[in-house]
Amino acid sequence: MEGAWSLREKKSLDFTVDLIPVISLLAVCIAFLLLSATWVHVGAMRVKQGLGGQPVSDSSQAPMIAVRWVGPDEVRIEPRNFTVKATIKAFKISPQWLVELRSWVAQLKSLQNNLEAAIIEPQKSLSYGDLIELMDALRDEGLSDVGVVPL
Amino acid sequence: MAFEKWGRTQKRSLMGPLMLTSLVDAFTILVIFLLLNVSQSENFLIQSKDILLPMAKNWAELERSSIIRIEKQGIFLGDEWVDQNDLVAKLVTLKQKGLEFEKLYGIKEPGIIIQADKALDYDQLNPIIRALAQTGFSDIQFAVMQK
Repeated sequence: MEGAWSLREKKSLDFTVDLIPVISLLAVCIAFLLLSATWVHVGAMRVKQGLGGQPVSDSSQAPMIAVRWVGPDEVRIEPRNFTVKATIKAFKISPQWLVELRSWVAQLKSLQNNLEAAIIEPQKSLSYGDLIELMDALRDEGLSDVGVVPL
Repeated sequence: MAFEKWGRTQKRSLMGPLMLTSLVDAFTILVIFLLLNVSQSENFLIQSKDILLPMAKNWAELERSSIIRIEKQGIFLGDEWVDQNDLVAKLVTLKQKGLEFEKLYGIKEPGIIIQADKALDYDQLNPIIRALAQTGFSDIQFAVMQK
């Protein structure tokens, strides 16, 4: 009889962890993190602007191109400080004009290997999105220093 | 009688045992992934429903710096609304603070961030570009969405 009592009181060494609260906690964490997560990644288009305070003699004479709006629908590409002969080219704004500009910049780059800079002189009505698209196209063609001229 | 007994013993329970350990593992992996995603995100930009950022392929990592936001209500420097006429004065103060910080800690400000809608005309962006040039901010980070 005594032996039966002692057998009943002996506890099992195996125990079970109740996972339900852990799952609940993790589910709340996941819900919160999913709501607060940023799915759209924001980057930066970096621009190094000329400040215009330095004398002309100090300014760099590196080759560059100026992308200038000369009319509401016309853009002119002007090579500056080129050591080889390069002509000014005008583009009419059209859905395909950026493709044409890119091929022209690629040609200029093949003429002048150290061409790495461009300045954009936009017009007032140019949208910010189009400006960034233009900068992106110039960067694509290997022009790392792109600046914007204030009007 | 014997037949009934057999039937009772053969009936299976409808409640199957769930393997919760693998579920907890999957949840833990999800939590770790989301925590990493949150810690790496550039959530210092103030999101606004009026601002749809332009897209670009040639982007760089956005570095934490002062933010100029152009909204319908006007120009904001950080959280503060700024009158266009006071922008240069505010930027001069900001530049001085940046220079003092650079002297003390040797860390240069990475370049002011401009956050604007892609449909915005350059006419509205121009006073900011001009003010930045006047106050000696040569580095600008235009906030873009990654293409």
